[in-house]
Amino acid sequence: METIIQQIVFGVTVGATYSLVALGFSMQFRAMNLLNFAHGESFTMGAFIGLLSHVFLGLPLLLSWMVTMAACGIIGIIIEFVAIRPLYKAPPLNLFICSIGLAMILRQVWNILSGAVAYKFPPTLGETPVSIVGISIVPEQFWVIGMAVLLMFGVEQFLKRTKTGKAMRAVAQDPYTASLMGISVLRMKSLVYAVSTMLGGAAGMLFAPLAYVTFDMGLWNGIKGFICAIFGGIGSIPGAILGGFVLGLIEQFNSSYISSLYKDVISFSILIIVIALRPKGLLIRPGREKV
Amino acid sequence: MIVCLILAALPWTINPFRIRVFTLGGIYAIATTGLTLFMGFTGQISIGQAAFFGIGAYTSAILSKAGLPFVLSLFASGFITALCGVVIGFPCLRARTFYLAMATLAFNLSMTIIFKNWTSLTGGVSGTGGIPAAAIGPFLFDGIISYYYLVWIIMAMVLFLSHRLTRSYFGLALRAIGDNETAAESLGVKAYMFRLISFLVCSFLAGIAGSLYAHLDRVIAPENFTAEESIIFLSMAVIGGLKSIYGGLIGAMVFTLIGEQLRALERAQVIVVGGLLIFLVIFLPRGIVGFPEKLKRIRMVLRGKSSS
Repeated sequence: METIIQQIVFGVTVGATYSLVALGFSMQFRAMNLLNFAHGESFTMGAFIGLLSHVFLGLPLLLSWMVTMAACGIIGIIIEFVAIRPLYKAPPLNLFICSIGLAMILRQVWNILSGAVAYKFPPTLGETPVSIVGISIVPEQFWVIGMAVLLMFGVEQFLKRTKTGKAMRAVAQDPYTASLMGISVLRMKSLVYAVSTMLGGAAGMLFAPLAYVTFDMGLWNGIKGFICAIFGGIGSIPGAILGGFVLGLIEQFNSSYISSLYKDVISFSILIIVIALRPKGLLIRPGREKV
Repeated sequence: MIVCLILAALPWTINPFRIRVFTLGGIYAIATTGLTLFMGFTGQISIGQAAFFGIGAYTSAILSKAGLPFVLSLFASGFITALCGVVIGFPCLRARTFYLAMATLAFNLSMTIIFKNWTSLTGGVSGTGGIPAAAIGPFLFDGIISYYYLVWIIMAMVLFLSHRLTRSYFGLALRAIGDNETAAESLGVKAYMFRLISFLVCSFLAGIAGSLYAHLDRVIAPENFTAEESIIFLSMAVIGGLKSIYGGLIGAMVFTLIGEQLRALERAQVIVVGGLLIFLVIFLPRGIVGFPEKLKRIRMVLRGKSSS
């Protein structure tokens, strides 16, 4: 019983970071009609900038979080302006291929900057397990889950309550009408890109103490984020969050009861099965597109 | 025609190392032609070509080491890879575009894990070596020059067959699906079936190319067949141009040659390639094949301006 609860906690911890990545995927898909192959790189970006500011420059945690988020946002805006903006009128396929090019560039940049070395990120709350009613839990896990939930709640409230958030949703729903209402569609899209990059970055920084920081962490976590997004139906924000927790749990039970070597193979097989059964996600009803 | 002559004369003019690069380019061109046939005509994306390339290479390596003649193992790897293509395509092709792309990427990542860990079959991380040289009857292709000719003759055959294929009913049906699937289906074209067959052709060519690759250096390792390699195949197809069967050839050659020139940059090479990909998608969405057409249009625009 104790081990099962421990595993659930660990699964939820990892799942929380997946959820954040999936949330970014979904936001970009909804507002920009972009399936961003480079989204996983924002994960690496967050981990590396966090590492740089917190470990190498020795900034206090809060400050280094602020630096990381600001940097991710700014880089996101730059990327959107340079590579994504010229392609809004092009077919979505071109945009996707463009994001593959972006991912290649970003990955190599991290590779060169890091010298392909794996770094250790110090935990925020400590790694010595504490025993709570007989269940030993690593405090770091609370930090990750807490922060992730806080961020998701924040984003949700931001989208629902603030004027900017409402404008973003309007753009996602109908860009043309939104533009008639005096919303700058381009600015909103670039803002969406920035916010989702920040979410990816936050996920990376949260995930960093759980494993090593390497330049290629983004590809794997990016595709896992996509799996989560597709679980709930891409574009659906609650679906993305739910998908993250589900995948985290599946993975955790896989690696402890079936095979840790092939745990990713199993996750990917699940993706293929889900795609085969419901090509557009579990929560979205399949429909016919119009000619 | 001229291109053929240049290619045939190449081995006498440049050094053996360069010939290896051109041979490799030919091998990549075969796999990329397969990808172009699939992606260009059906309008789908696959990021799994390197996995099929790898399946072909490992099949060929294992069969050749077991003593099977080269021609048989070449075809066997083609057919086995095509079979894998059908098995994977059967569930994945229900999804389209991005979804398919991510599913094939997941397949590729899984295959890399399997190549690395199924040690008894694949030799694990260090790969498998000691693959015998290619031989057809009494002819032994153990030198790089003879192998160069073999690869390019096969490439020419592939190109010829693909050309015929695109002109056939099959090719027309594929193009109809790529243009507008719902409309094509309403005219009685079974879109899913055609996509599956074209995926089969795509993986068959990847298998043939993989087999040739296994016999090139006679040693293969999992790192040759990662998802990154798939992305490179995809880039080759897109850079060359998806709407023409020559796109695969041009893309693969441009890519391999640029890669060779940029060797000094080491890892930064990928950055240049990624930049090129973005540049081309923005300014030349039809790839290099579409360049003459674009040039014509620009000239027309200029002429129109000067006359008015």
